[in-house]
Amino acid sequence: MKNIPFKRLGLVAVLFLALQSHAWAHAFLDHADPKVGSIVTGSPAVVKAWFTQELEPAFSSLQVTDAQGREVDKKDMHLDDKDKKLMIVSLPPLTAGTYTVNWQAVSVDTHRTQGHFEFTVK
Amino acid sequence: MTTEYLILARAVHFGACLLFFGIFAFDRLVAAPILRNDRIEAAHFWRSRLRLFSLLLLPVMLISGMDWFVLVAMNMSGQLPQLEVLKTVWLQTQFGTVSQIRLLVWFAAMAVVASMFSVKLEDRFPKSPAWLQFLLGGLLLGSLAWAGHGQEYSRWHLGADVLHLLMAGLWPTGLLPFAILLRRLSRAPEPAMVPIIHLVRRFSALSLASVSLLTLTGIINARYLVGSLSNLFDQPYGRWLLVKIFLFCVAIAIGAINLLRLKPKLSAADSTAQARQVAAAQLQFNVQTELVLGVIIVMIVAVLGILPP
Repeated sequence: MKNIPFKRLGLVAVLFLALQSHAWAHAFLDHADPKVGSIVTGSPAVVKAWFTQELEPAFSSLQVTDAQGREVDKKDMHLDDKDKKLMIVSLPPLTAGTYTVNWQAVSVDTHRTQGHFEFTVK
Repeated sequence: MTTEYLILARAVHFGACLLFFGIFAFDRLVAAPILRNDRIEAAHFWRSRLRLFSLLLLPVMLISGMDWFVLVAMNMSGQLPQLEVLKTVWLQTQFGTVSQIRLLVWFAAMAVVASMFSVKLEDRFPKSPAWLQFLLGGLLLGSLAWAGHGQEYSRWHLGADVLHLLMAGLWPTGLLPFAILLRRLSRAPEPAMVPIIHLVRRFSALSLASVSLLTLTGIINARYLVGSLSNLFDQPYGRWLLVKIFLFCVAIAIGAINLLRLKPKLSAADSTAQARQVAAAQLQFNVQTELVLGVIIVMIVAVLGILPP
């Protein structure tokens, strides 16, 4: 009889772990607008990047560069007021070409991640 | 090298916070009720140990906490620790806010330690400092959840993480004060078996409750952070967690031997004095082994804190 609670506990453990759940404790890029690798018609007004964790604005950044590596955004990166997982940076009217978005995200758990993606203006 | 230092600073800081809370929790929940009406010198010995541990652990907590803060600032900024970076982390990040609050609690704990050395205060309020340190130690330990993975998903996850930390402060951390007091009581010229039996009985009850809650909160944390069974085997975080779970199970197995075999020998009415002393010696050895496992587990926790789940 004494073993029953342990067996039940083990069963509960297996059930808990068997259920899929969201598991990203560092901030990684979830999705973006313009979409990663997309081709858009006309210049977007802003680039939005959604991350998997809430961010620390003091150490997070979002920069858009052209094919020559020059920064073309308005250097006004900020987090959305209501969604601390969303970084936004404004853009001037862009000419046709491929642009790279470089991001650095520091999550509230203090971990730093970085990456980049491209989009093309037609 | 920063990563290695970060792991070390975290391990030392977590260890000091666990011990500080664990020792005062042990005092309030286990030792004090046993030694309350006892005029044996074990009570005096225990009170002097409480003061000594406070004096040792609080500076360790502060220094390791400062190291941790600087290393986290380096990690967050990707730069060497400059004053401007440290100021930004201190004033503009959640980790900074948590650090500010924890520093205030640390100052309060230091003030209570000072009062523990005041004979006048101790005579007038003999229990207050220990209760206050129990509370402040709980705040210092539980607030670590806001400085790690604990605050990332939901209030349930955060609550489970706080409870997990506090339960770890009761067991296995409580094994250290338990071993110290057990050793003292066993080595008296005429070992006082009654307080030893009461000590083992109370600590067993506390350990059982703590292990149950540790398991439950550990499962909740794992569900949020690991996500699936396959991640336990495929990801470095999951593999370290498996090692931690394995060591935890070994420690529980040793605890089960203490509870099911040694405790009955100590408290059985028909046990001879010699049989009880042998059981007490075996218990001490087992507790020391569990403590070594506990130290390794704290090191693994320090590694888990910097790995992406």
